[in-house]
Amino acid sequence: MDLFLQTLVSGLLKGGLYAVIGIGMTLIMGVMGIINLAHGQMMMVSMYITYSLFAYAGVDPYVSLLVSVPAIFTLGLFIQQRLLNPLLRAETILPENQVLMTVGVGMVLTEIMRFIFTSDYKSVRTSYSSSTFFVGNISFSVPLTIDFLIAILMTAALFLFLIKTDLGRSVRATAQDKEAAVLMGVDSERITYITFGIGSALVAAAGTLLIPVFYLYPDIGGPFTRKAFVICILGGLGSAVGAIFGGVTLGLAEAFGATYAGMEFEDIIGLVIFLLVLLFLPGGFKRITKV
Amino acid sequence: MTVNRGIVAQIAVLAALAVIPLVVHNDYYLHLLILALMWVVIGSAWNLLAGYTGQVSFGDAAFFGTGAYTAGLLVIHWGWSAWWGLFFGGIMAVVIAFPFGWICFRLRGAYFALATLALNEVLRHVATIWESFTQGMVGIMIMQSYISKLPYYYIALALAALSIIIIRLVMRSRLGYYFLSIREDQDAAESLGVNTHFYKMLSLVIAAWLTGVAGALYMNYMGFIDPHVVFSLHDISIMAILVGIVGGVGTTYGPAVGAFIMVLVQEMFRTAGFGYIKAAAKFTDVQFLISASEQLTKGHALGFGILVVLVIRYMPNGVVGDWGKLMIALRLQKTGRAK
Amino acid sequence: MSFFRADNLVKHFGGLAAVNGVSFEVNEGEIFGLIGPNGSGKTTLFNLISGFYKPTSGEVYFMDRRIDGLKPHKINRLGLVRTFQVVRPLKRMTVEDNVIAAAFAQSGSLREARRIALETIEFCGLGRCKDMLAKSLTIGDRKRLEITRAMATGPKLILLDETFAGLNPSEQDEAIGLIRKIKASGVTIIIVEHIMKVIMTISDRVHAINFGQTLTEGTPSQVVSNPGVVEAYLGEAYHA
Repeated sequence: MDLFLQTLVSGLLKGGLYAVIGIGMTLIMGVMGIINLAHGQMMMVSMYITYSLFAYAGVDPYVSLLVSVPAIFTLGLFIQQRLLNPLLRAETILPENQVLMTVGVGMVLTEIMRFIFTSDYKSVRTSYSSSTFFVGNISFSVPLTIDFLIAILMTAALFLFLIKTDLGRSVRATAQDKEAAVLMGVDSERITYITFGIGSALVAAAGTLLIPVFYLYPDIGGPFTRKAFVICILGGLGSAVGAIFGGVTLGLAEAFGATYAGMEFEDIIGLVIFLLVLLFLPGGFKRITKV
Repeated sequence: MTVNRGIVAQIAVLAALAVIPLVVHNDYYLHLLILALMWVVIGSAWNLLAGYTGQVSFGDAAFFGTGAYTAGLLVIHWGWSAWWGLFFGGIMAVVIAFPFGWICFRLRGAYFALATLALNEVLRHVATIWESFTQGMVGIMIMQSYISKLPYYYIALALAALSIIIIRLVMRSRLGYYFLSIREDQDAAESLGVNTHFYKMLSLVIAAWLTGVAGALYMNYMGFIDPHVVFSLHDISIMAILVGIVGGVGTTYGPAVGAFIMVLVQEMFRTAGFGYIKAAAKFTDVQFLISASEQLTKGHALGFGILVVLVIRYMPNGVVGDWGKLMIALRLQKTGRAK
Repeated sequence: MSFFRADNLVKHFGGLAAVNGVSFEVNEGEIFGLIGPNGSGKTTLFNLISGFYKPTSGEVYFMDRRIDGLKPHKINRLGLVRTFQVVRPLKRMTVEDNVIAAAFAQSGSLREARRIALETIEFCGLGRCKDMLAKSLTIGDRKRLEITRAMATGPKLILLDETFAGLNPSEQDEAIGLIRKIKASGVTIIIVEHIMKVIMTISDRVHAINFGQTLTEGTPSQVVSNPGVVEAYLGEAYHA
């Protein structure tokens, strides 16, 4: 029973961060209609920023959120404005050119980091990295618990932004019906890069939060991109509420998979879920929740 | 007239390719040519599905790896010749592609692209984890049938020619017209009597078959595979897309052109200008060249990534598709210089 | 034994009934007009008949075969074809290739399909732009292409969805001529139309709907004089 509860807790904690990663991707998906296959790589860059600040200036990872999040937000703006939006104007056969561009961007980001930091594993070991506290027999990792709380805060803030502010409403309007939004006076191009910026900022935050409990290497982006799209598929492409469910589900599934089936299955579990969803629930949780 | 000229040009190119190995005895160049010809097959297959039918695969390695592993497993488990892989590899790729497409094509939009990516990953994990059957990370090593590169070269050339012929025939038949109409507008196609689900499946099956055959050729030629080589997302799946895009999406010969360009470019980055920069550096002892060659080899993947970005940004229709644009750009440069 | 029959068709979207119990019969060889104000359910009805939507309840019979719930391409093969209100040309293919793709419904060989396509292109008067890319056509020619393509599949019944919208008066006259020609060639036509002048001149019988329900049915003059129709729809549109 304890093992079960322990697994549940660690799955939930991880799921909270996954939700943040997934929401970032699904926002971009909703507004631009494309999958950002550089999503995990953006997170990886954010992790290297955090690592550098820690290793060379002794900045605590939680403080470096103030640097990494704006930095990746700006990087996201730049990518959308300079690399993705121009593709809309070019006449091409494939609508997927934007997706391919994100693949290219992901490769470039990975290789730049490898060029600078080499392929070696890096880690940020803070005083609290491996500290835990207990509730009954269940141990809670201190950093992961803090991360979980911050993740909830960020999600709440994002929803407030989307529901209460004009800009947020424009983002939602563009996601629902781009043409109608444009007719209503929404500057859809501006919305696309702001959205890309926000989506990137979210994943950047997740990266910075994760680094105290993770090893860092340039190729870590790819697996997280895959996790992100599994979460989006689970939640239903473009659904932010769905992404929360998707993130938590994936976190739990990975935790239970690792505990009961073996560590080597952790990576494959997301993909199995992905295929199951395609088979039995095409459209994801969105089909059930309708949001 | 133009048709005749086209045929003459094709025969000329084919003849030139057939004669090359008799003139060029350098194994290294032959090796690059064999790889390029293999990529002609994969790129053409990807282009049939993506460029002509509009269903972009991000996971061609799934079919390539299946073909390669089929050939390898036939040897280690049943003691057959790996050449049987050319037959069964293609079939196994179809066996994987069929149920996969059946499920994924029910959904439109980004699902197919994502699902191919996932299939790619799933198969790589399966090949890694199922050690008793696939030998896992150890990979599969077989004895190559020939020491000389010549037989491989001609087999690769035959396969490349075959795939282009098949695709030409397909595109001049009902299939081709239906593929194009699906790419342009699925609802319109349905209303005109096109069973879009069936024809998307058909396009996928042909593409998977060709890619699987190419995979089997790779096993035979290289003699060694492991999950990270043949199920590689970057080196196979993304490379297939690049071959298609650089050459020209939705053009018959684009992928063939793209294959040669991409294999050369990749090799150039990997070896710092085929080692010439290094050689020049050694010869002249210029510090700049030495460091340039070192940085180039070190950053070859970076260069490759930058190339991806630049190609999609500035030449989204590839060399063949953007030929006019390319010519204009070059001419403009000339006149610019003249001024 | 009827050529075409829709029987008590109902289609719900969530809680909304877009079509709510519409029935009508179409005789072979006639032009059957379907009118109604915006949002009255005409296009939904077309989508139900041509297989793009599955009816919530009700049945559709075409030449004594039940066709509701069949896929659009199956229905096409039975000889029932539709056009789209918002035209959907296969943009990056030439006009000829657009029509050839459709003509493959009649023959598997490219040579034969091309022959049928060229014939249909001439029949519909698109010969002057057969080598142009579909995306570069004017709106009038796009509408014409839409009909040409549908005709090339060799239909017995063709559904025309607002073919006249966006056409100038001279184009409208040409289109009326084309529709009469199609009728003369033995193809039955169901036409959804907004422009009353058009529907009144070419229809043999007219069926009026509003809020997804039948208002009345009869000859054009009968329908025009029906007070319900006048109130729902014609009041402004007919006199305007």
